[in-house]
Amino acid sequence: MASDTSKHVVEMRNIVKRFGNFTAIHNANITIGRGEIHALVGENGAGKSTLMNVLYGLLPRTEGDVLLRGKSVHFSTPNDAIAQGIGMVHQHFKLAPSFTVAENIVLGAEPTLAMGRLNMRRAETETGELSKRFGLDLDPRAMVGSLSVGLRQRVEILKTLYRKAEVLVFDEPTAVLTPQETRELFATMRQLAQSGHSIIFITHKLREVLAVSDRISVMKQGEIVATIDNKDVTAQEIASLMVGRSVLLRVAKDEAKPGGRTMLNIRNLTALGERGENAVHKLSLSVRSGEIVGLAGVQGNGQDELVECIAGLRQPAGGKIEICDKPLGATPADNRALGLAYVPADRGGVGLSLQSSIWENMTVGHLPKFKRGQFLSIGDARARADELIKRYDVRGATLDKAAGSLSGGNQQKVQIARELSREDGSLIIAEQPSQGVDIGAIESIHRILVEMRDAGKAVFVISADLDEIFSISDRILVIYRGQIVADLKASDATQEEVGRYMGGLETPIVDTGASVKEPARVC
Amino acid sequence: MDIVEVLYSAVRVSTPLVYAAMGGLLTYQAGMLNIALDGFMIVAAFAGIATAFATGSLELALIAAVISSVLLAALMATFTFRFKADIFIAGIAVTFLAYGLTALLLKGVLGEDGVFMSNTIPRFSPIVLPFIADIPVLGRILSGHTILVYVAYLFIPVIAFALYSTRWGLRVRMVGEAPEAAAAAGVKVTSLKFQTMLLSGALCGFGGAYLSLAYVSLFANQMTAERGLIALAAIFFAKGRPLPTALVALLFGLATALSVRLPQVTGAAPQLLQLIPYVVTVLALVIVGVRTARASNKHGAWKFALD
Repeated sequence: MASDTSKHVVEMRNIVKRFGNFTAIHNANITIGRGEIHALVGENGAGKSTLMNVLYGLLPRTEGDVLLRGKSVHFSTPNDAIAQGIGMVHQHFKLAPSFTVAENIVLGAEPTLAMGRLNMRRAETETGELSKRFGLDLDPRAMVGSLSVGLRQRVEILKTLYRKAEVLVFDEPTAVLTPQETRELFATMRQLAQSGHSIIFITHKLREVLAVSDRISVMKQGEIVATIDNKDVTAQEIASLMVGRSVLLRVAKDEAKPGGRTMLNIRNLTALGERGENAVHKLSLSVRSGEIVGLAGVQGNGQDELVECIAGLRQPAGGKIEICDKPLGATPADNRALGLAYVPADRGGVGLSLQSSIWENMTVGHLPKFKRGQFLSIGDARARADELIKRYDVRGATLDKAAGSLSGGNQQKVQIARELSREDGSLIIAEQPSQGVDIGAIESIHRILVEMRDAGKAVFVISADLDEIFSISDRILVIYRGQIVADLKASDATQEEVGRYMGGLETPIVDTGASVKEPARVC
Repeated sequence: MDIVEVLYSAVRVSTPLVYAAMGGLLTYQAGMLNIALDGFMIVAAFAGIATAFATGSLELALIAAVISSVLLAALMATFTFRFKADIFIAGIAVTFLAYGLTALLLKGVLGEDGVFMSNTIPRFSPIVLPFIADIPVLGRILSGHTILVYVAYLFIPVIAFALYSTRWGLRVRMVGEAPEAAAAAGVKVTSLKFQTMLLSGALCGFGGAYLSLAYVSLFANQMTAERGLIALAAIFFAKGRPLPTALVALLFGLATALSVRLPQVTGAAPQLLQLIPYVVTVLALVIVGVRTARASNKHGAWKFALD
């Protein structure tokens, strides 16, 4: 396949991209065939996005050549790339929620009548036809804001197809999807490939790579270290190519020895979501000392509201929460005093102040320790932060550097260091602990959480990533429409089984209160 | 008190508010808080009256007013987009610059302190609308205004059409709500924002010319009397939709008209009654505030003090 250049729709030759003195991409070579699904895998920061941004015209290349259908091209803006048939399905959807599906799809290429008047009728029929042709069922008049995440992704895909894209770049498309939606997406990708589209699939989920791609290119530190046919490779091999050493995909840990004490006890909790719906509905669960409980679920099934209630960031509408046998306090500070250590998913918003220095971020929440009368002992605080940086192996950190200058994984380590270094923190809530964190750092974060468990703390992990849930949990809970629909021992459960519960395909087996089957209501 | 007369003067009084509000809502829809509407209007008011005084031509005066205000808008846009200044700070700077510059030129060019007026300045004459003038009551309210009043109200449907029925309008609104989505779709975000800012300047140009050449026939320092900010309040209240924004502007205008007429009938202290339009504005903003607070903090979510 590699020898016949006429088959290659895209060929990137010896691409080099430098930012000042820093070389982000060294001599990358990649070819994409017509009708091929080509996976581009690598850790965060390996250069996958940078390489694709070069292709898409978002970044100018320093050296090298991009050939499109055999001809050398230079894109200075995404517009040029779009005009030449390259489309990007962004990880963070670029959609306007209060506009319709059709308006979002035609934006930038709107059909018009005389005098610049919009031809909305044509826009709607065209988007309707397009969605039927590719089996991506969508109502052109629906508001994007009212669509589920999976459907919004369809809008993104249709946007590129509306512009007649032949090469589609999917940037981490499955991060926000249910297992079922992921399967549908893969079906769509295969169908697109069959109709002659070429697909570049950026991901770091190895199972998905093996499930859908024809060829796999592995990136490491700005280089493409290997391009392999899918049938010749295993997940373990790709993982070692990505990291450069063999990686434990499952954290090595002993059997949990749960203590007798219930550190987190939730009974019949009801909480309202942003639109006033019952996001959490009569939910009950408990986490004991010495165990790691993983909460699996598709995003938007009440996890956020549940965690916000525990952290004190949201007022429950009913039910009760007990942290270390004491009822929930009135403010986040009260809950921390009860023993809650909280590692939020929203690192930049809730977890850290990205503009503030690392030592300041590590000191917040520990202020009483450094109090000298009305003043703060900055020297002591810095000394402690310095020690934490070493103990938690925060790479690239110096005390005065802004937290925002660190990579995602190291930012995560900063907030984990701050939260887990509290002696009184006996309930640890870790929300999406490995989101945006590379494989090497995921391993060490998981190890830290296991250490905490072994030290007798209760650990509650909320994650949308099933691999993470299975890698770390002793017990797995599944949340669906604001209720716990499954409570499984991790060693006995399979991903398929949990996936079915996540998608609501299985009836609840656990008794979580009086009205388990009642669906979440929207007011 | 003659109600019809109060309504007639409400239409008149609301005119500069409508101009400013239409200008401000274009930038609002494009996702910018443009607080320099007063600055745009005051340079236009000055350029208008100075040109009318020098040339005796109202047409030239109107053109000068619009050009000067568009130039100021271009300066504001340059601060914001070229030099990446915070739009709020740029707005304050531009407004103060406009106040200071017009006061300086008033002294330097026209040789007056504070107020300039002259009998030689031409005035816009009232136009009696055919047919409409014959309608009982309504005719007396709507007819007999100057051309600039009619133009102001004509801009309302024009802008509604531009925003909601054209490709340009769809793009402007998308830029306002989801600039990244617009950019990803190949829409030139900065260029569109620049355009709305210039149009905002043009509309304020009409508003300023109206103030110094039609509403009254004089120029006074800071004569816009924060009409730009009141217009902003109307925009926020109506969430930037053209017709509702204009209606709120009319409501503010009615409040002003009442504050002028009421002292004659009630005998209450005029100083007190002059507060009416500002009280109405504050009430409108309180409603906006409560509405936003409810929308963002409902259902028990934690309120961050610094939000």
